[in-house]
Amino acid sequence: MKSNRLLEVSALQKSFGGLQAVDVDSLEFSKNQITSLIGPNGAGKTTFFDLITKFQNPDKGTLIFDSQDITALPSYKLARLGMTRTFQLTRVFEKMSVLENMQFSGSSLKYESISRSLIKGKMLNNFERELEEEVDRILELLNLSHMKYSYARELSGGQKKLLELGRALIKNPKLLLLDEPLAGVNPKLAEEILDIIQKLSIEGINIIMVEHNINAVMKISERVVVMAEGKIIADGNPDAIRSDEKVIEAYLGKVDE
Amino acid sequence: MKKYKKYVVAAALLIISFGYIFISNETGVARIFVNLLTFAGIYGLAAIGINVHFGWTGLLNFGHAAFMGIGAYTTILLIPHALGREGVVVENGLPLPLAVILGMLAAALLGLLLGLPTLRLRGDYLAIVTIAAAEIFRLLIRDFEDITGGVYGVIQFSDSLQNMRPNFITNLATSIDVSSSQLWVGIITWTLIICVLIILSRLQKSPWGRALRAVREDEDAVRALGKNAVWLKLQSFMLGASIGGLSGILLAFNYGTLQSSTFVPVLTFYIWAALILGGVGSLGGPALGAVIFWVIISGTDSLAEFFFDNANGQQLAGVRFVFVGILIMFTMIFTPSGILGKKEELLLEIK
Amino acid sequence: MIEQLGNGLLLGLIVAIASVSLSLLYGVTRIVNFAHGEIIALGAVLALFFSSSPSSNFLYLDRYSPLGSSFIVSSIVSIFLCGIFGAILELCLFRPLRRYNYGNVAVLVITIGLSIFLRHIYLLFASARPASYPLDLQKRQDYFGVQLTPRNVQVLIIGSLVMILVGLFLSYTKTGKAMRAVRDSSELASVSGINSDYIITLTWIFSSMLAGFTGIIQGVINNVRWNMGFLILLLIFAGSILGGIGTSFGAMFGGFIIGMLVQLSVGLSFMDGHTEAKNAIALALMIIILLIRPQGIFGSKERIS
Repeated sequence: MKSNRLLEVSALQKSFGGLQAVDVDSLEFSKNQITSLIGPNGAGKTTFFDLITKFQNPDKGTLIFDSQDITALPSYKLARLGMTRTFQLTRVFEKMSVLENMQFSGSSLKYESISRSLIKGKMLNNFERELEEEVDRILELLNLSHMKYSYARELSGGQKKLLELGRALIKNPKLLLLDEPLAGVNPKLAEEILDIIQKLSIEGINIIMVEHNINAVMKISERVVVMAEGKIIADGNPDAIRSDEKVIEAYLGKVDE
Repeated sequence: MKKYKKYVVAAALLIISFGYIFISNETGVARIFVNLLTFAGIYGLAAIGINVHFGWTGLLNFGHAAFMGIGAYTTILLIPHALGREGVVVENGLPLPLAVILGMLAAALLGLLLGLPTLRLRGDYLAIVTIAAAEIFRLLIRDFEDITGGVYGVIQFSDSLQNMRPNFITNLATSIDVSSSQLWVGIITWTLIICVLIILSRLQKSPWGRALRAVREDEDAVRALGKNAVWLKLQSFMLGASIGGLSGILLAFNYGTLQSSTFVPVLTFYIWAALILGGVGSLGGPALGAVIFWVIISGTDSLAEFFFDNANGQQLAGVRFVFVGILIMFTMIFTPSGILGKKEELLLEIK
Repeated sequence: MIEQLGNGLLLGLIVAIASVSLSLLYGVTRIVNFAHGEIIALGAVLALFFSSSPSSNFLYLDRYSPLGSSFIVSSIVSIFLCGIFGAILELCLFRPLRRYNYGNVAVLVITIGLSIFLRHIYLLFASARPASYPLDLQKRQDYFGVQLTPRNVQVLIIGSLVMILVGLFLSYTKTGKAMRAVRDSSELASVSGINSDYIITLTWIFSSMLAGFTGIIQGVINNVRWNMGFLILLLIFAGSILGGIGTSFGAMFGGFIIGMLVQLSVGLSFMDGHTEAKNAIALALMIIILLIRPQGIFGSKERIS
């Protein structure tokens, strides 16, 4: 029976030289919603992210994505299963154009071999054409169409964030993991990005984001998970989290009577 | 116009180089030219292989001599040959084209063998392992004399290639007083260079080429986007290795004998110098760099004569390599993108 | 194979010390210095230069006949000169490269060019044939079942003392601790008031002197060759990979094991007549280690990819 749980995390643990960075008993993502992962610095959010996306290997625990056990899978296989991530510091390919960045992301693995690339059959041409149409559609959504042929390094910081988002989108993910999508972004662009995130959620993409911008988090999240010292200390809708004592304590320290 | 500046520089350097050859030799100029262009072509082809590794994928291969050597030995030992003056004479063998393909495959296989353990690690590991591999290759070849023909090496194999030489080439060679066998090797070499460059140019613009450029720049991002970066690197490594193997085969035919002293590690550094000089990452750079490099090297020979009266082979080699070392250092420090390379595309961080 | 034990100890010691010198340098500067072998060779060559008698024809250019100094004095002078050479390399080459933010690939290629340059300078100015120091030949004697010459034993003792001193230096002196601090984190170090540049220069000097020392004892045990640096460099790499990159102890341990294994392999039957191929064993071993446990015995996984 196929579970409707998209991502299940069980008994996940990771320590660095004696320091327990992540210790999560159980966490599930099932409904299609926007989830934010917040917590004070050093809470283990980024490590948690890395563990889910297999950029780091857990010491213990299991990860199940879309009914498949991904605990032992290498990171590059996850995107093919429908899980894509972005990075805190943008990692666009600066020496390639915006179009090429998108093409690379969206192109099918079977055409990226030497033999297929040499024998440019009709199938490849058709595929490339359809790919470019898809690229155009996404660039339109992100307001980047005018930069299509520019080198990625010519983009502003904010535009690079959008490009990275676009690269993740063209893979048709079921689950999109955004690592601080609003970091270092001016308020106007932040609004745009939040808009886009909401649009994507409506289209059916499940979104988990790590974010420090609490206003943004409260504004668009349907669910907020709070981490502190590697553990999950709260999990609920924004209003519940806002007034949760443990959360306040984690951020501000214990308030003396 | 700025874009064409480097082609102008390239052309100027070529003219100066050839001019220098003309001036410094009164007789036998044609012979010297054919010799130079043949060797340069072979080294250029080898450099094209390394360009695929370093220029396209950012891989550090300092053991190319091993790929060249394995290609050469595999091919030559499969066609009719003789082992040394008194050794076994093998009269029957495979047809040359088949032997060449097998030689290139052997080189690719060596690439697979070396790449599998190292390509998932940081770049300097590959550098170390390839240097080690080339050294092992040298030691094995030198020690296993019964296969490699000992002091005289493997001989009497040139016929397989020279029998294919058309008459008009022979006639041309006689008319300008050059060795017809070398002329033939030279023509084949440059023809192969053109073919390889055509294929590589197609690959560069293809999805595969695009994927390689992404890998070169940021492997983690490539993984996050669902591609197997290690496999891509491995493919590139094997491709460059097989091109190296091809150049090794040509080198053997150029010499006419296959000796254990041919594919030594320093050969790799010659080729790197040619690549860096010509321009990492560009299509024409490796071949251009090889030609100009050869002219420079011949120039250093005259310098050696100047410093040491009656310089012997040792001293000549010594001076040559002193210059190779200086050339590599200076080019990397002052013009890392060489003559034809694109500065913006040069990636100089170890991934 | 047991006859090789004495030689194995010696080679193991040499590779161990050499590995530590390179690991120190790598730790602080993060450069894989392919020219390090040439600094080792420099020590040997300079000691040869100073100690050969005026009438010797060990040098190619007979015009520059060397001083016939005592061997000990020559060695000490050579070691100091190596230290100075290291300082010159840092000040004139590597520091400017750091300032101008040259990528580590560029620096690596430059060190390769440098090693080719130096190696062939040695070829031109020193003999292409193996040369030995003007020390009297000694007979091998039996020391607890191991066959060694008295001089070899001296070398073992001195070498081990040097290793211990280096270890103490790094662990307990202010400078030593500063070096380790810079190695672990150069930003953190400068925040705590340590001048990175100064420490880096000191490390170059220290590492080069140690390298020169290694070259000299290698010359004493075997002989002096123009390409001895390159040969030993490969063993150092193998040893460092085995022991684990990033720790001096790992480098020393790995270096020692590799040296021992390489020399002991000479005793294996299939190696008869192929003694040079012993180096091939070390290198093959290195490739195998990379396959099974790339971080080496003592290394940590984070540092390798």
